[in-house]
Amino acid sequence: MAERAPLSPRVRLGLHLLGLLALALLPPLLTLIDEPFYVTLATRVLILALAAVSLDLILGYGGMVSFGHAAFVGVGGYVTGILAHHAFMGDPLMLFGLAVPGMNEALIVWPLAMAVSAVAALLIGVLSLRTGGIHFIMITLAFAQMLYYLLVSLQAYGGDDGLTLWGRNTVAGTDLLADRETFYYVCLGLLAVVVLAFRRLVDSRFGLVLQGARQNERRMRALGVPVTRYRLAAFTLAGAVAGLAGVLSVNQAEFVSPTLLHWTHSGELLVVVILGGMGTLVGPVLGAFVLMGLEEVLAGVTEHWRVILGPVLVLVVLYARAGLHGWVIGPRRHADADGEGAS
Amino acid sequence: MRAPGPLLEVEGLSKAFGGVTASDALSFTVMPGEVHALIGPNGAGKTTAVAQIAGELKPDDGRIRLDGREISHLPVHRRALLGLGRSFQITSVLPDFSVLDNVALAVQAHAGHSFRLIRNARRDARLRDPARAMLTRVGLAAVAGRAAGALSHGEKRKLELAMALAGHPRLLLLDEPMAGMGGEDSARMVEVLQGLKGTVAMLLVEHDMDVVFALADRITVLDGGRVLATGDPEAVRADPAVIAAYLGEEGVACQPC
Amino acid sequence: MLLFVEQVLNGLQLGVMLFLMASGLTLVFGIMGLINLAHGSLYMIGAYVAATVTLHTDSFLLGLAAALPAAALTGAIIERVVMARLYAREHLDQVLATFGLILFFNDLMVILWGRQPLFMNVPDALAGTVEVLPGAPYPVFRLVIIAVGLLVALGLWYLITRTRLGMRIRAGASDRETAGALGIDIALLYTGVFALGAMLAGLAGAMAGPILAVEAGMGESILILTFVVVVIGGIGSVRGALIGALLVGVVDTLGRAFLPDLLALVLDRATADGAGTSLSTMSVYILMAAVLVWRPKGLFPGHG
Ligand SMILES: Nc1ncnc2c1ncn2[C@@H]1O[C@H](COP(=O)(O)OP(=O)(O)OP(=O)(O)O)[C@@H](O)[C@H]1O
Ligand SMILES: [Mg+2]
Repeated sequence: MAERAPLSPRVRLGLHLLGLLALALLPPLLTLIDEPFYVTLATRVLILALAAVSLDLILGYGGMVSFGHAAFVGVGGYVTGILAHHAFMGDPLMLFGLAVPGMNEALIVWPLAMAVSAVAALLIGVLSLRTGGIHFIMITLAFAQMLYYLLVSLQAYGGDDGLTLWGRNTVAGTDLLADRETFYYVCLGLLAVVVLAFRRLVDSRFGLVLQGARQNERRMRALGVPVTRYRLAAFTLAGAVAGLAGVLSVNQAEFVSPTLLHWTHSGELLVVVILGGMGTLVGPVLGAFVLMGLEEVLAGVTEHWRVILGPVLVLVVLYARAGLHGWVIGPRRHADADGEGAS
Repeated sequence: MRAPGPLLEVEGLSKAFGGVTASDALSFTVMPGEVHALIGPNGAGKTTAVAQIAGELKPDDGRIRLDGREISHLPVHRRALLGLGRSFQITSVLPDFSVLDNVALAVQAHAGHSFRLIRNARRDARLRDPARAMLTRVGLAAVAGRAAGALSHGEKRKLELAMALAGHPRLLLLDEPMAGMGGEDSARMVEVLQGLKGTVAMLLVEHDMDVVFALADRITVLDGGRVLATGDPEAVRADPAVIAAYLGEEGVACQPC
Repeated sequence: MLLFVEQVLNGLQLGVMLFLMASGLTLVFGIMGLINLAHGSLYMIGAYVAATVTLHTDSFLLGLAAALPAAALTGAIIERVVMARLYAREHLDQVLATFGLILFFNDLMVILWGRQPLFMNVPDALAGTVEVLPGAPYPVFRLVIIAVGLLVALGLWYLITRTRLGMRIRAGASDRETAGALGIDIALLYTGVFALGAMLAGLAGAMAGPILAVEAGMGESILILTFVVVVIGGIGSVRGALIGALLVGVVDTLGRAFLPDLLALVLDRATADGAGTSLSTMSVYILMAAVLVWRPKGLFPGHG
């Protein structure tokens, strides 16, 4: 796959809007061809994309190769699951002597879950960002695994088997999310908001510092920038958004188990970002569709589809590193022309 | 106001790498506004000294003061914000960003924290205007929109200088700013530095003696991590120890360049 | 007290297994700058081959004799076909490609051997127990594992510090160009080092066979523990790998054995059991965090 010249910003924006429109039209279309089951699958893709976009912020823009991102997805998911569990059982959650009532209300639970994920990311980030390179990869993986084992050991919440929920979260007391299509649109809306917000973020002062640190950390420090705290902030923010993806995932499946933060899911998120094109924010959305599609197709061919997916992955890394986004839309934005002009 | 003391005081700086003593109880000062050349043969410990002043290397012993304030224990970025600007011996720019982005980031670094998440920094006149002015000053205005990684070597060196200057430093640490530049570029760079003379103090590491004698107010000669001599150019040129250890051979060897 | 001795020995046994894994991983990190997630797959391959040959021939020695070359050969092939193209790439690319290899090998094992785990017996000659202390019998096989691990450590130390090959390895680690100038065939050296690491992983897998279930994916939990070891020990350091491995092995084992009881001294039994179990699963990671705070580059940064 040779990289092509980048498309003009206007064409690129047009393509992105077209993509959004296509996603918006997907449910009625699927209903029309009588395949409503695929709405569920597409919802799962959107949720995966949301987690991958959050990883792209720290990976593609911040240069932080986190191999533990699924941990934050899992934390968000478990906050949702545990609160719902207590709401159902009617007993409060005892935390350090504090009684937290069970809850099912999205307007409270979702921000709360994001906050808890952010705190987890902050703590892991503080430790992991003391080093870089290979260390960072292994340390994020290890801490994610620690959370995995921790949740496995929590017998009160099903241990290995996880928790089954009795329905999705309520929104302002209504069961809005129970409807398959509504839930799809909620996921799509949140994904669009996050992509747009991140788009702004990466061009802000904060975003430029983050990208500068990826390109040349030493230079940034010599300029007077304490890069670690910006990286940590980005890592925490990405953790919060990953937590939101976890919330959605648990609502979608009405089930949560430690598998959600299994290390292979962290690997999968990396694959999605690379497949789609890292440092593009939109690429990971493409990547999510392609990976899930590929899995769906391969799984139809053979039960042992990973024996094919694995080598495909190796080939992609060796020969198609620009990712789908680079292939379709052109290479990642470098200097962005002269940095002026419309975008 | 207190009497104008030295801007930079290096006192007893020592650093060893395994068996190699790269800095051996170095002491010297840089006065405000002065161009102070740090010279010495390859491996004399010039880069090591600069790296310790900038804060990248932790000295084994010794003190560094900037304007009377001890900075020995501050991290790199704090020292930069206190007024140390830096260009590296091996060029160091942000390759994916445009030339203008590079300098604008330098301006931004000195304009307070960067926890500003929404406004597009590439359209922020408070960053772009000074950056553009700086590019004009070093002669890079024409390539402002190019990716820094695509610049020629000479252009990158100029960009480094522009980034260092953008923070309005009080002391520029220049590690061989002309290394690897062609004759013309190099002459242009000397001109630029000459133009800066008096407005900002410089600690200039340089091998080319013509450049050193053209720019320096004072010279410190290093050899084997030790200060061999320090003083004004005439005195250093006449110093028998320097002639014997350094200028003697190097002067001859360097004649063609 | 007797229980304590037994648990310490268990910890050492886990420790030397981790060392066999970590030494290969850290050599490859240190010398080629490569992060190889598929190291656990080589462990798994060693286990499968050893188990299969042992089940067919009734000889654990034959199983071992087959497992080592099988793992080494697989390693050499992986190195030549995939890794050699990744040395100049970012760590991210290495992570992704080797992640792909894990997916491949896990499913390949399922195809070849099915989903049922294989169980192999401890070889008859090593099946008994000996009294390590009066009244404290301990399985001979586990003692043998400890001995083998320590012998390998000694051998590696000798190889790296005392032989020409070791000198070449160190030259290759410090500087590709110098090594090339010394007339060392870098490509061959790299393949050799990778195969050596693979063989050690295969050895660990083969010896784990009689203790654990041999199944697809068995390499992954030990791989992640190995990462913890390498982070604690310092990347590239074989000595660090040894110290880190023993530390992690002992802390993990003792944590699981005694933390619930220890906590029961200050908490009520049920809470202590729950919290103790949770805490003990986290103990080595907490150890890693502590080392990171204290020495971000590990206990023995750099080579050695
Ligand atoms: N990171 C390091 N590890 C080990 N030795 C080092 C390191 N950095 C420098 N040295 C050694 O310290 C001594 C001084 O090196 P330094 O780079 O400061 O010299 P220099 O005067 O800048 O030389 P040049 O003119 O070639 O740039 C040299 O002997 C060098 O080999
Ligand atoms: Mg130097």
